[in-house]
Amino acid sequence: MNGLPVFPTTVIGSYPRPKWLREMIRLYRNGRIDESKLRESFDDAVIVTFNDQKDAGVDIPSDGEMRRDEMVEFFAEKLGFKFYGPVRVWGTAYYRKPSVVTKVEYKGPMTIEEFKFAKEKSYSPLIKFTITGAYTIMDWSYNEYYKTRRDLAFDLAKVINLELRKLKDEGLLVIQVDEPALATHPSEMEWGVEVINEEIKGVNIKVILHACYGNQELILKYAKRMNVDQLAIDSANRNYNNINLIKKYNIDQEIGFGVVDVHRRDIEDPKRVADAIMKLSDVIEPNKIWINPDCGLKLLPREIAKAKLISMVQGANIARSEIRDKAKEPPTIKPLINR
Amino acid sequence: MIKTALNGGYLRPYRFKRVIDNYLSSKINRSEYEKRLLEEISNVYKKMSEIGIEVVTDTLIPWDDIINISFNLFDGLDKGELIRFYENNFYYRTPIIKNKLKLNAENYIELESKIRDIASGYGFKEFKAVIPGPLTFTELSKNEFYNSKYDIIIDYINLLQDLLRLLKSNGVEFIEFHEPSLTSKESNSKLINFTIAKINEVFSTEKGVIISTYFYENNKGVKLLPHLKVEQVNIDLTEVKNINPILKDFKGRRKIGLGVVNSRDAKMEKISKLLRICKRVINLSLNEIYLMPSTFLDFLPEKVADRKLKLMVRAKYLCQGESR
Repeated sequence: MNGLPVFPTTVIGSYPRPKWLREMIRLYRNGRIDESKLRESFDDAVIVTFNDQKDAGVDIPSDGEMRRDEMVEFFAEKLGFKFYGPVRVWGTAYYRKPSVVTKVEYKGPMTIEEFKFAKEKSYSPLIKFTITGAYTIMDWSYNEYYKTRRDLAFDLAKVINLELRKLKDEGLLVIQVDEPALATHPSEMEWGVEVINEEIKGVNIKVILHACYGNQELILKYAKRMNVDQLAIDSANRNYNNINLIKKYNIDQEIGFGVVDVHRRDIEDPKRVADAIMKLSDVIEPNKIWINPDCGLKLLPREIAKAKLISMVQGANIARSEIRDKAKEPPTIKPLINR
Repeated sequence: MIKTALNGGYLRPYRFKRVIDNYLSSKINRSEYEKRLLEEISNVYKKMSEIGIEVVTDTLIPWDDIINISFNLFDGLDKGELIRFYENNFYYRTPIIKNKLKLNAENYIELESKIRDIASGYGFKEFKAVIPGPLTFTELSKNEFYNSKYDIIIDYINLLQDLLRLLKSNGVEFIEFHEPSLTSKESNSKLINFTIAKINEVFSTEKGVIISTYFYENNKGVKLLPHLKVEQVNIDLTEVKNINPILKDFKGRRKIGLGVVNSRDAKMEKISKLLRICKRVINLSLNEIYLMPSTFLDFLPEKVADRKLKLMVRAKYLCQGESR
């Protein structure tokens, strides 16, 4: 399956939960509705999320991670980690930081039902599905059991790998492994890339690695050692100053180019988005460029998130019309690397 | 004498999120927000008093992060991109230096005075205002005005001296500069040495100056900490494998702050370990020893942070052979 336009547009994953879903979650937590009602609300929210992305014209949508309160919490709960309470990340954003108190083992599918529902309801046969990577789960959890962070990360990589293989068997074509913590400890980068390769070993579908808000140069520096097909990285937030870095490291992979600053409420100018895409296409082949926001959109009000996606798609369309003669090969959904 | 202290701040409690969100979405006005803010800070001081903490800071609750304070102190800054705070899953907005830095701290000082008054009401005799240190501010900012980082450090330290005097004239006796960049791998050695020299030049005779250090990624930087000639240096003992060499170099100083509980790790320290540290430090002939968390407590859930503070208080009394 292919048929991707040049500069295919996609999302990073999360999307704002509709207000009514937040209310249903609150009612469920207060014991006022049962689990089946909550599940129905999640299902409805996924459909609404697809509709918003369809309206915006996104080529490769996601289910908005509607069922996940937070990217590490979700998996930590499935893996039986311990929770002590919310921890702040910035401003008024908190997450329940989990703690590893026993050996990490695969306890069964964590995301399969979620994926099957998304696949069934998506307007596009291509969807991007996301999973939090082992290194990030390790780094964003307290470790009260393992002797070293490395030991914990490699056990988690085995677990994530089993889940990815199951997703592949269910027909997933595009997986994004979220590893925003990867570049935060430069001294661990040598084995950090091995953790990445371990978690995606044998997963021969399109594998995207998403990293954001950290030392991007380190990610690009190690890119050649990572067996991933694409790096989805924040760029709008950096005022596109990273284009020179992308050039400098001459990476083999595709770039998921972040053109929406998810921490600002003003809507991006499509022309500026297009200019940035064109600038990047001077540095890497156009068929290796995918277009996405810098990060998940869930912290924005829904109407702003949608408006930003519309602007992103408009920007990609302008760039498509400008690139027409330059794009020799269409982008591919196939993996670039045999893992 | 051993005292227990906050280092940098408490944590912004989750329950306060709604107040901030309501304020940001204009559901409550500025005066209502400030009233609720001061009530929250009062609750924290009440808890600190019950736990047995003796020295408090302004709690840092008003600020999104420690760097955010600078936007409330200086003209000449714009807010830039959101960046990870060192290696943590914690973020700050980068200050972009657009013009020569100029002190504009009237509102800040007014708020600090109010917070200090609340602390006094709970009987706290030592109260610290918390400010990003010169090197940390310089390294975490984006410079679009100065010729070099050295120039930023010089201006920033001079402004801090003015700020210190203004704070003191408003009843705030202690100012705690947070300087994780002194021991960061990202910092250049020459710049570290220059900062220490400038701090010593301007603040070695000033009372009430504390330099707080943590996140020890750079051993060279750690070795230089005893060169700081300010009233008190806070060192993070949870980040050093062998505490003896660093403690030895502080022998004979009047005051020292010791990060003895790890603000980034939920695992509880063993009381025996804390007691060993206390006993070792007592032999260093220091007048005042402050037991504290390694840094501000935002990296921990509230109940874990409180347990660690209680443990610290217990260690203090056990070490002095007293019961509370």
